[in-house]
Amino acid sequence: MEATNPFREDLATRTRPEPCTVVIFGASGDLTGRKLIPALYNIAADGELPPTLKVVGFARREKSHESFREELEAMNRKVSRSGHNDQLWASFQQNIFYHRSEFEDAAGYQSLARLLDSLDEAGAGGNRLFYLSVAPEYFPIVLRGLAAAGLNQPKPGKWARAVIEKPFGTDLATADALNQVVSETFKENDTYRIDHYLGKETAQNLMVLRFGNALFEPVWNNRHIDHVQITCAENLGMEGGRGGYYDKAGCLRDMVQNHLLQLVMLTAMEPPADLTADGIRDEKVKVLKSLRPFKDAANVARNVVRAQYTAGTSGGKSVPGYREEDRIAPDSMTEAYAAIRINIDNWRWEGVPFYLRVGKQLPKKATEISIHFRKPPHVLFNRGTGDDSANVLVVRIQPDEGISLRIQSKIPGPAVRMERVKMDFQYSTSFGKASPEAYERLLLDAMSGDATLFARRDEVEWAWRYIDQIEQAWHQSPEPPPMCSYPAGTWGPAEADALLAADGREWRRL
Amino acid sequence: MSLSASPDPAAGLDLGSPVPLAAIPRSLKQLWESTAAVTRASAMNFAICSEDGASLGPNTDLIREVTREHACRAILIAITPAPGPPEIRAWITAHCQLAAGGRKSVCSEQITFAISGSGPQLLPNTLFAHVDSDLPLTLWWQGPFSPRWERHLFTEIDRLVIDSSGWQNPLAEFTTLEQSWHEANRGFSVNDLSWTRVLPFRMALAACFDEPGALALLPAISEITITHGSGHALAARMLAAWIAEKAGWSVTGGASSSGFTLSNHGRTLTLTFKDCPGACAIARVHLSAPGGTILLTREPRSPFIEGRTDIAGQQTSSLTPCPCDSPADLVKERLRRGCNTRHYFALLEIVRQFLA
Repeated sequence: MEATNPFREDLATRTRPEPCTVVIFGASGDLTGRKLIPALYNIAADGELPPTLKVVGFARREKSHESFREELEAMNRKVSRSGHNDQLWASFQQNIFYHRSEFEDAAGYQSLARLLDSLDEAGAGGNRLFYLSVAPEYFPIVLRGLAAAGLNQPKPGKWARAVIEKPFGTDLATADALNQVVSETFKENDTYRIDHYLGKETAQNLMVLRFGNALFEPVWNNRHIDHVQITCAENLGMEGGRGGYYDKAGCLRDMVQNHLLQLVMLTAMEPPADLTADGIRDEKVKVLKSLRPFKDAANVARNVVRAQYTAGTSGGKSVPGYREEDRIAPDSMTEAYAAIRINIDNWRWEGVPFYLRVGKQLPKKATEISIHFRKPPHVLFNRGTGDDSANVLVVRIQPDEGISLRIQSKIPGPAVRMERVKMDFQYSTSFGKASPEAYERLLLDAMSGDATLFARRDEVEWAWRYIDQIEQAWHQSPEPPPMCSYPAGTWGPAEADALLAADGREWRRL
Repeated sequence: MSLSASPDPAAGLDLGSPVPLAAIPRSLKQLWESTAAVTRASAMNFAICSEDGASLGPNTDLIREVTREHACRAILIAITPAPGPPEIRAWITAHCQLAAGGRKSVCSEQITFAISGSGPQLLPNTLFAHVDSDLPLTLWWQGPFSPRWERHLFTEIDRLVIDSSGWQNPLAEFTTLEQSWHEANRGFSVNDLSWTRVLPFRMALAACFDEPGALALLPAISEITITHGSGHALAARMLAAWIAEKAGWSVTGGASSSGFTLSNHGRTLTLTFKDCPGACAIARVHLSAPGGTILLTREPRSPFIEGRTDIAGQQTSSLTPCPCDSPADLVKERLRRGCNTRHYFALLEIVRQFLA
């Protein structure tokens, strides 16, 4: 058994990341410079990074170690959460290396293996974290390349892990095929499917809110909750050339299959038996298994609204409609907006719909979960006025991370009149220190071997199973549900309002 | 007999609006109502009690800095001993900063008391009449313990902040502290800023010993030298106590010209403290063994501790952030972390051997 460091005993507030080499495939991409390297740098600035950690960028473009470091430094100066310190960067960057190779080139993986061995001799420790920040079509190619070079096999007493960025497949069949490749190369417990929403502070706080406070869990069920709304609104369209990817994916695949269903799971799951990765993920998967399936395309049409935005105004500027955007097909049938009524068939949530909406070119950027409690009986106050007196608990994921509770209060004066007021908790004002970026937490966890905030294979597959029903109704049924529209800069199509109005409810105004 | 008048502790200071004692709650309410573009934030009560009349100015500056990270209701109390009945003057003010993104001002309120004279339970009464209910109370007791450090005070607080580096007689102060803690049924945690000064070096040392080569060297360590700045001998001894405790070493010999003698699992180990004027609180930690050395150094004002290991010819280096220098930095760091008070008192047992 390896000796443990006695000086760590009373210092560690979390599992310490182990010395390792992080290999980033697709290292010349935006994610590496904008998120991954600043995340590692900030971990170093917090004193949490093992001093012998090495980073190897693997990409096709011709670069030297020095030019790669210079590019990363320039970006880190712009985006690093904790600022940029020259002395720290000088220490950090000497452990960054660049390895040029085509993803399909077997020799490139052999030479990578030699580089990693030489880094191990220089103190890297022998553990390897392979981060696949590449287009999805390269996932199997890179994984097989690693396997052919033997890099998927850890050295004795060491580990080799793979971190895979979304999208993890485009449907159940492709996700299953990809999972097959992954399981042939890495063990499931060495596979980390990243969903950066799970790295956000407020998403993590959902479990603390529910299971760390005696107040909420007793009312977290269909006896007290009327419905739940989850909104992910973006006030941008297809700027920056993102239309090429987006028009192939659509918001259902891009956002709902992963981020929004993760939020549904965290909101609806039962208390886990323990806080182990599998203890939590077991409960999350149970939620997905309880999602009521759609019977047919007509059933999808009754529960799901899809839409594209037309020309409108956003941020005081005229913006084009979705089909007029750069890299979008003029006859595109890809949804830029979706609203879904989800039913969860279990004891806790029977009769409590979860309404999800996600879209581009909405009035503001906001992601939140709102829990709408049942209205109190109007026997005492506001009789007959029809006021919306229900309590609403809002968990704001971004921006302005925090929690607010809407309650009723008496308006001062001789008459008994009530008004809605808000009790508000904001991370930024209660905790002065800025929250770490989601990637910091997720990279730390992957290096520490904690998979709690990563999606497990069955989670991904059950999510696709649900999404595929909608995609098939939209694109393969003889009578597909209509593609609705809304002017850019508004809160979505009228049909989405009607979806809730049919249940006697309305979308929360953000 | 006539007494010369004590200097006014508030003279020349901007402590905010003077308010009558009984009007503090109403004045605070008016303060917030008069400024619509700010958010009042508070996650705790943070009180500072000092028997130094000149403390109000530096402590107001400190609160301004601390509230950047820890929104609180700050309560500053300066007591000037004087005969006769108590006289209390009070001021209110707020410390504001822009929230993330520069959108909105987030403000913490400060109530300041200048107290002269004396009376039974004067301090606890003044303090507890003005804490924000339901929020935890952190009290920084500045200076040595005095008769005002009394049961009615310490049994009601959640966290105690002290800075043992300024104590003239640390052995006696530690005894008082430990007795109070037991009398309060261990109801408050002890947060010693001297111990906080040591933290970055603990982290740097732990990082060095993450390497298996360094860990293997631990049983062979034969010499340790800790260099500290003037006035921080206690912090150096706390660090030595921590290292000894973690490594399983025991003190076998008292101070001599060559330092202290410890037993490293049967082998003799020499521990030496060096006072270096002008250096950081902890400036250098050097551990040596026949097979290699571990050296941690911090240059004055550097935000990092540089770690260098040289083991069997293989050299590695590392940087550990060290943001703690000013009292405000230390308090912010302390408030971010919890404190294992039992462990702290256990370490004091070893520290006492280095002080005896």
